[in-house]
Amino acid sequence: MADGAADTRSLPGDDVLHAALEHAVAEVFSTMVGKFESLAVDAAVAAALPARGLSHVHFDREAVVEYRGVLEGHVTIRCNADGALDIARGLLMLDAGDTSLSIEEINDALKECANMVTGHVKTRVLDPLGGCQLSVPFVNSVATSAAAARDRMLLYKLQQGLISVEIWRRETAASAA
Amino acid sequence: MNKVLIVDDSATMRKIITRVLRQAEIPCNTVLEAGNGVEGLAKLASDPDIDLILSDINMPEMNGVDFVKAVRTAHAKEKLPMIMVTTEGGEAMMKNALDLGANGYVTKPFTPESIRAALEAYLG
Repeated sequence: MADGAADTRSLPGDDVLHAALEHAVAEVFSTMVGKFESLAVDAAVAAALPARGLSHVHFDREAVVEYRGVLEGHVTIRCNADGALDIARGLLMLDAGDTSLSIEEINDALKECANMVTGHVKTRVLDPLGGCQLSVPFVNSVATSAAAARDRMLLYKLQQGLISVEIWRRETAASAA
Repeated sequence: MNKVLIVDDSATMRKIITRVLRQAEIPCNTVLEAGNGVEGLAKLASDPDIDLILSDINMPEMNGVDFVKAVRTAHAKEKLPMIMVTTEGGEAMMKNALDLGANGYVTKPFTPESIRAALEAYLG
């Protein structure tokens, strides 16, 4: 683009990112994790939890991958202990009752899962904007109730556990323009 | 095929690929592992009988593209197949790896079937 010329490409909005995230989760989980059930999307999430007896569920860890490029932000997968185990067992093709995994192995699997989901969003939505870099995935300890569900949070029931997936976008010069 | 080298910075992904190879009934006796391109080159130097390499692209120290480039200085594409396994589905990255001598690629998430399809031609 010539200096001073306006970039008239339109940047994808939250709806597009959210749809790409939902597609990415479906792709990664159906291919490599196993059973997953979408509980609700958007504003219905919080209302759905008590009815399903899930409002007591607490997430205790999250895996995060940051993306940087024309758009910047991060993808977060939060889960309770059972949800993390479900992801690790699924990826490693272990039986539902397998208890042989260490915390490091479980967290490593969670990071790999976040990496694949974010990579999928990158390929579909972020790369076409003109290049995007992903951070190395990392895991944090958190203490969040599933009842704190908010708009645009995807919530899934796995084999035994529960996870939430979100995509956040930071305001950048390009996105503010 | 006797020996396969898996190069990926994630220990979990190396385990996953090893299990998928078994699930896909890929006939290999030995699976070797390395955490990045530098370690991959060291494995290759110490074990010249490796028949095929499965490599991630996004790795610390030496990424998959530089790894392909380094391997191809000593090992021809026909003699030592290299299949890239990565979330980086971006065309530029893949084209770069293929131009430098990678034989093919598989995008994560993958199934035993997609791994088998990518390796089919090299299962002599």
